[in-house]
Amino acid sequence: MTPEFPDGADLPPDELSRRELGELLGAAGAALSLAGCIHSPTETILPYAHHPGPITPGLPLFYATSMVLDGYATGLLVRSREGRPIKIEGNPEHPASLGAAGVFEQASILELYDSRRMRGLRRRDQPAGWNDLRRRFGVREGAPERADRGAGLAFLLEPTSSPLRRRLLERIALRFPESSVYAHAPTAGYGSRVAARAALGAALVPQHDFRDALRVLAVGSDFTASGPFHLRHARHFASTRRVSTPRDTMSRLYAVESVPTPTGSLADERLRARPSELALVLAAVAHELGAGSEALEAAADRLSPRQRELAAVAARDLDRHRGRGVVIAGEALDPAAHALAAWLNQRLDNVGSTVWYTEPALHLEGSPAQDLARLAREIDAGAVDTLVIAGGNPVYTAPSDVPFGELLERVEETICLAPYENETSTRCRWAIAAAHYLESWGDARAYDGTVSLVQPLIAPLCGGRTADELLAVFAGEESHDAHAMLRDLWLGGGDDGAGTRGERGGDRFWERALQAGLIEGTTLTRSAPVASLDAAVRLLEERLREREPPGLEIALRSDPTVHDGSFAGNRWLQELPDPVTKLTWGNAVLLSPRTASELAVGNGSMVEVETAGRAVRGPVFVLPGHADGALTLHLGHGRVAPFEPAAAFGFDAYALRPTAAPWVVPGATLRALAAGEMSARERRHHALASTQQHWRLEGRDLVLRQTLEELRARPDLAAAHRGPLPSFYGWEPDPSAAAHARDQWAMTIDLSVCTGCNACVIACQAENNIQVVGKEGVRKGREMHWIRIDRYLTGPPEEPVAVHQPMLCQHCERAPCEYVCPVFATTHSADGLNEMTYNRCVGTRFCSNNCPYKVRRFNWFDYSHGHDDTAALVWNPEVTVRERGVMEKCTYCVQRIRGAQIQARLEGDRPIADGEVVPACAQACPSRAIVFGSLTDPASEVSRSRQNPRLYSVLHELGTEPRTRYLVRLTHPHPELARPDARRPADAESTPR
Amino acid sequence: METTADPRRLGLLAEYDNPADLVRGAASMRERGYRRLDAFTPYEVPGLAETLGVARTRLPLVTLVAAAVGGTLAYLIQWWTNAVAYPIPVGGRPLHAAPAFVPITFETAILFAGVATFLGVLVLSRLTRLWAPIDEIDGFERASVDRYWLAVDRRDPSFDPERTARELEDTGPLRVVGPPSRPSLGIVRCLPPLILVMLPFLAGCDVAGPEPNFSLERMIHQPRYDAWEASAVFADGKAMRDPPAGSVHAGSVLGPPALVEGRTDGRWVEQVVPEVDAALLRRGRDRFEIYCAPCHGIDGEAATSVAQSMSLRTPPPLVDGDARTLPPGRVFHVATYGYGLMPAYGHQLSIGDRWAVAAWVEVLRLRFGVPLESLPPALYERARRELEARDEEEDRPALPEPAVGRQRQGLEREVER
Amino acid sequence: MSVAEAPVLHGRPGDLEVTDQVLAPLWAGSRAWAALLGLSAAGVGLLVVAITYTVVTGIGVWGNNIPVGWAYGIINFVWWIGLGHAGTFISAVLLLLEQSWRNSINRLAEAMTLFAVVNAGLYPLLHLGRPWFFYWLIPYPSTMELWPQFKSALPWDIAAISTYGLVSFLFWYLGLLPDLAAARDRAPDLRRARFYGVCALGWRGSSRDWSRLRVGYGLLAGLATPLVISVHSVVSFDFAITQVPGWHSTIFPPYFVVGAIFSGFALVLILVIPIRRVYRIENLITERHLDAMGKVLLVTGSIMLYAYVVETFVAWYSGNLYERFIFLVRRPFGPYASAYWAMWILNAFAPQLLWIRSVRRRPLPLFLLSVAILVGMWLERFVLIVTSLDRDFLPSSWDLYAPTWVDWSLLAGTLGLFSFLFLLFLRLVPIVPIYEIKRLRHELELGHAG
Repeated sequence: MTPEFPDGADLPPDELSRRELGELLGAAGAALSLAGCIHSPTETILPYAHHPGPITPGLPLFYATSMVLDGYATGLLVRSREGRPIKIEGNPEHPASLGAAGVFEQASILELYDSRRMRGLRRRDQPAGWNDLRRRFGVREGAPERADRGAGLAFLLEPTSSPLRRRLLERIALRFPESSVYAHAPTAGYGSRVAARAALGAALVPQHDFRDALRVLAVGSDFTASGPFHLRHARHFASTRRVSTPRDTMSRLYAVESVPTPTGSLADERLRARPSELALVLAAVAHELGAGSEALEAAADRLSPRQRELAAVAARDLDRHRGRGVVIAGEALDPAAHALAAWLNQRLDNVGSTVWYTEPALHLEGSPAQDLARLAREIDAGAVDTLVIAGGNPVYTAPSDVPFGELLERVEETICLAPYENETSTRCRWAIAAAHYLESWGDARAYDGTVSLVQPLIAPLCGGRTADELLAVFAGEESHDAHAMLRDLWLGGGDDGAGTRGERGGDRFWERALQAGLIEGTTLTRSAPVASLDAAVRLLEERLREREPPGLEIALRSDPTVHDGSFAGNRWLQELPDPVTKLTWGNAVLLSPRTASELAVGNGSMVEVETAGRAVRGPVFVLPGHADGALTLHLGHGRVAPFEPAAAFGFDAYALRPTAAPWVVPGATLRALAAGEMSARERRHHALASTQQHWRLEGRDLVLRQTLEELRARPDLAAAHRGPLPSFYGWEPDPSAAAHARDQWAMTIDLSVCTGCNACVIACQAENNIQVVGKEGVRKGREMHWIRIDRYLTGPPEEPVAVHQPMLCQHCERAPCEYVCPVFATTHSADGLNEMTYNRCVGTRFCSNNCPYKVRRFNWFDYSHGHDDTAALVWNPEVTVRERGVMEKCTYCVQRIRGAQIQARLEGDRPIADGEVVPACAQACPSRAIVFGSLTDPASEVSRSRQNPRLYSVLHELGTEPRTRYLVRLTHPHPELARPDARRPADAESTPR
Repeated sequence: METTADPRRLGLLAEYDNPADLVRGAASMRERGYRRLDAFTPYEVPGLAETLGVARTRLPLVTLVAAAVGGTLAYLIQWWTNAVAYPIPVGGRPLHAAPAFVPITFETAILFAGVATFLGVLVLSRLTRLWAPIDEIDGFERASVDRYWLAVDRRDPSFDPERTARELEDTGPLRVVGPPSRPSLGIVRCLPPLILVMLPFLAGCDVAGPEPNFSLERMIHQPRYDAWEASAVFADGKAMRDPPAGSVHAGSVLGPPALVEGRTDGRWVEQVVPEVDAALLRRGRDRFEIYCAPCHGIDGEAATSVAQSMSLRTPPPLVDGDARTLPPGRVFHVATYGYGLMPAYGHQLSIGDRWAVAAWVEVLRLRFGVPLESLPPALYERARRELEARDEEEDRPALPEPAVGRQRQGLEREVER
Repeated sequence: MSVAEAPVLHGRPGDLEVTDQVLAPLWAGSRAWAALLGLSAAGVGLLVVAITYTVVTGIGVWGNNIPVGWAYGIINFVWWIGLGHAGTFISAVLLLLEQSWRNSINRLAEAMTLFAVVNAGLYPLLHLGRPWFFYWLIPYPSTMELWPQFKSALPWDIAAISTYGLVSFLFWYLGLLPDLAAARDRAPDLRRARFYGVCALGWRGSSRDWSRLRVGYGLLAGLATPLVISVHSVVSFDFAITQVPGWHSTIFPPYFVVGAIFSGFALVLILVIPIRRVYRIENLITERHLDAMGKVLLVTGSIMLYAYVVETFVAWYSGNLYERFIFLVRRPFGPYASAYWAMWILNAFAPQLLWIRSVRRRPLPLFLLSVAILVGMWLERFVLIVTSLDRDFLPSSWDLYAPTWVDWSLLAGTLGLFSFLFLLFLRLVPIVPIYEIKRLRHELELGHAG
């Protein structure tokens, strides 16, 4: 009755065929009349035959491992129950994580337990064995090697930093000197590489340290929410913005961007600029800082007065804080921008303090399009007879002018490693199931070079192999066991080519490394090259010379929830609201209100975007704060294979991506589709499913905002929004509570550091077994997330100020939900939790009606059933899997609280230390915006936050006395800049349903 | 007196065709001194009751009492359940919230009063008696339509068949009739209706049938995998997996093999590795008596019923015989990985605990087989007294011999190796 | 009968005449009746389908969402329970006020009440996420020692609705006994004689029984009167005790009660006007009755007008941001504005036509007006519930509501169930209290009736 994957839009869970209905009509009557007879199902108990040492059934173990995304490693700590990984958390010791974890890392566990994964190995459509592959391509006794020394042999890899893979590639090079290796990196920038070679004279990458960056100029860079080091950057940047007394100082962020990003929402001064203008802004800043050149002059002249003004102010401000600032240019920007950024950092003496350069951690970088194009030419010329695609999905991510799919058919032997049968694998002769990284041995480097180990937590579920194991076949290795190869690399002599080996053999070292998830002292050495202005100017002149074709600019972006499309099959990520648009299940054409009105389109109207003869069709989403005259498309949607139609929502923006300009496509036209031009089915398919309909605050004091100056002028702004209220029942906290409990739990959320990056949302989903409702469910307003991130816009529609407000159960001490529940299903615990007893709930929904924060979620259908046994493996055994008809909501991760209490009791009934209990959301938060702890401990972080002058409670006037409090959103704008009037509401009309 | 429908009381009846005559007739009969009169009318004829001298009914009292009972009961239930029996704080409101209890109190009072009133009418008027002899009188059925009957009770003091009949005739009725001639089979006749009345109750009886296997979504069986659960996903049908070989979990204790394995380059560690102090020994004793004593005995002599019943492979005493010679490293190792029938305790006892246990075993060995005489005099006295005292109540031989002659193949083999 | 000059009874039909006139429908049905019954049976079928679908698949087949946790289920519940108010009001209150004109319509109205309450009672069960656990709202000694939470308004509802249903039934049945006896004694064959014999519980009309019946009936009327007032007050608490803007209001209890009586009388008129025509009992249910009920509509309708005005004024006067938004922005100008204005026109302004006597006296306009009022009152509940929930405190959680086919089927289904039960009632029970008419006639003859 429920489909295999009920999130499919083709069959949402509320569908019930007439026939089934007929069958059920009878059954139901009988069933209801016998409601009393309940059978508890019989269950079997299956212990370990041979007890594995470390495991205690019922207790979790943590393993340090790493997830590789775009070639860079992020250190993780994975919670395992009885040998099954169930939750992914950040590794505090790892430089790229610092204990936080992003949405991709956390959601990736869903793909481990996915019954749609490819199994084993197939040749054409016949299942084959690993040995078939070895016999075909490996070293054979007495058999001659390829005559052409591998000339016809090509490898297409994802960008990689893995020392192991480097060694294997070297061995392949030895065995097949003529073979060629390509890397395709659909999400990689390319500007920085070109710029580095030109301006720095070497292929170096900039490293940034935001810990003591007092002034930051971010141009087209979303450094707190995307990129290999965003978790670290977010943590460090936030540390410069925590103001607990009016005397504290605070950094200032200038953000110049074409499309609103989480980082932009943090900006103290935000400037909109078309993608092509971003470099010009940097030029203007350089010009202001006395770089004499008519090119810069010319560039600056192209800018609007406001843009120039901000450039000037920013330049002066940065100059005033020389050595304590950062100028950072987005990966997608062109070489000129990166060269200018490099020169600016040098000019501002930031190099050496907050900025330095290293060799790239990737030894195989690749490019978003060019390398693939080269490979395509080779194939076209018939120079490739064997192509090994060790990961990635090039057929889908290929630029529009490279018909990679057809070309593949023309290669004699194609070997493809893929987690699912996807666009590429279906066109390959050999398809090999890729092992999930939680099943793999391997290594990779973090952005700063730290070697991070990938260690498995479970044996491969689908007989998957890693890219290293595949390459080992071609390298002619004896052992194809990644574990052995890895130990051999790091323990048994040999040089990993990165000079990172040194004298560190031995099991003890290896175990320590595995325990920590990384190898100490492997960060890349710093260098401080001289950036040449002339090179930058030359690059800029090239830019200026190429004249822009008329029409709109398209900015392509990797999607914040499905990345380059590789996560398109991930239900959690598909239903994760885009941090800016709050759209789920698909992408949209993002336009600024002005551009939209010029083109006479509105939210949800279907349009066709056309450039260079190629077109895509999709819905419009009007996004205040977007640059005029440009539109933004997110890559990674509209995938057909291999998933159920559920994943095919949205449109495939790769169809508009030319090799020449993979990130910014000029000269696009957009036209609204007439009623007849799109079928009703298509329209339904493309309809926007947004979790938030309304963006205005309607003059309600829900999100309090202040500038640093205002705070210093009147620190008591928030005072009216906290403290006692007249109450019929008296004000002292519930007497029955404090008496019984040693701790009183509470949470504080600092709005001035929340980027809205969604890490908490996914963390909560993974920890608390939160169900996915599918696109129809979201459109009906039935999403289940326990924590959501509300986004409000104030100020004029052109220059709106966006504020993110994580909203979860406020655990009110005077909870309105509790007293309306007729059956004691939601009650108050002694330690101040607003508890939900699922088993007692009859589902009147009275509590939700009376909850002013609307944080309660209802199981409208049996979302938990209908998933297969494999999918069920992901669910946290410590949390109830709710069933139909019951209400649910945030519990402050009560299972963790009770766990800590039990542990403390076992250890001599000691008090629970501050920071011992951390809810999933707080744990995942990169910027540490969420603080949790007990109020009975005056020294606890949360108690101290309660002293913060910025403390306030949302809807304080209702007297709900929430345990979850907020800190006023603080900004630090430049006094000289004209402030756009913040009172005027943004005209962001709600999405039509 | 009750309705004259009662056969023993049925005297004479007069039938009138309009209420006025009936009232007049009733009045004249009362003048003649009749006191036990009754009337049957299609509707309540005004003034008739007074004429017949019908007493006032006690119904209002019933209603009042019922209302009081219902209201009190309702309030008590609410107070007791919410404030006494199961006091759960909700919304920071007081447990005993009188205003909130008013509506139900009121409604229940009405409920009780209403039901009581209705039943009161039925009971007082003996309704539900579907048949009475008077029904046998032809034409009486029109009493509910358009005829008005006056009845005289046969036990009325001034009742006399002939005279009363005459007197009734004088009031000008349509006719005067006596009680029905033949005794009735009324009971038989009103059986069917009675059964009809019973049917609903029968419906309540248990209907035999197949039990429905209907988990009514009480989250009894959740689609998640707890410890020891079965899973169809894996070949061995278990949800519990082994960690991959070579993986190291973040919490694992890494130390020199002496500490973590109890041996250095192949040889058992000769003494307890961690610092031995009172705390360690206390912990060791505590753990030993929880985990080891059930088989090896509190004193390590393995003189336990468990040990005796494990006749095939008896847990050896740790303080005596070959096991006595095992070095702490070996004891630690066995505690970690188990031996023979003994399970592994590595996942239940931390490394520190296992060493503590090993240390405690050392203590037990020191304590074992110490001759009484070798004790210092004071202690000796006390020990003897206690032993004698114990022997008296258990009348056992003076001192327990050390347990000997148990099978120890396993250990012997171990020692040989 | 100084109030109006029109008589409450035309002619002076004899006892037998009246009896047979009223009992006639019991003995002979009509083809039209069968057709109507079949039609409403289809409605009941639809109801069964919709209920099964909901219970088996999940409450999600309704249009509800977060924030709109309550919608059609509760709207229909409040609407039906409101309709159920006129019956008891007519029988009890007017009895105590000694309004002789009530006699010929009270049974009809009471039957209507019962059936409306049956429908109303369905919804609170159906709208639960797990309907099969509804009994957890009732205090029963469970092994868990777990009880209902009596600070919530929902247990109050259960107490009120069940009490109201039961007491109304007893009240109705007690008044029915003598006529059932009459039916027993006039039954054409033994089968029906036995049926009515059992139902009549052996009523013989002895003068003592009559006096007990009078007292008991009076007592029940006395109990039912405060009950009528309390039931809809309790229903209004479901909203009034919350803090939802647009719900959190002290005017609700009286406003709900009046609204209930308002809609209830409208329904009585809708039923009475065709029936008196079809059954040719215009002599028993005369213009006088129509006129009196029209006046009741006029009074209650005017009170509704007042309530609407006050509600809006208080919202503005309170200065409360959220209340103001609901009453001054959301309802009049939001997406559901049409429903809001329709509610004003149908409930508050239309009844003002009843100042005109000819409208009060003539069946057709009265009938149409009553239909309008029923629709208006349904819309009032829609506006009240949906437009308060969908725009509460946090704009981020605002969302619209759209009903599904199941919602509509349930509404249509309960209408079917109501008419089904009512048609049965018309065939099985004397719709006019015969003995009351006879007594009325008797009193008129003796010339001392109001």
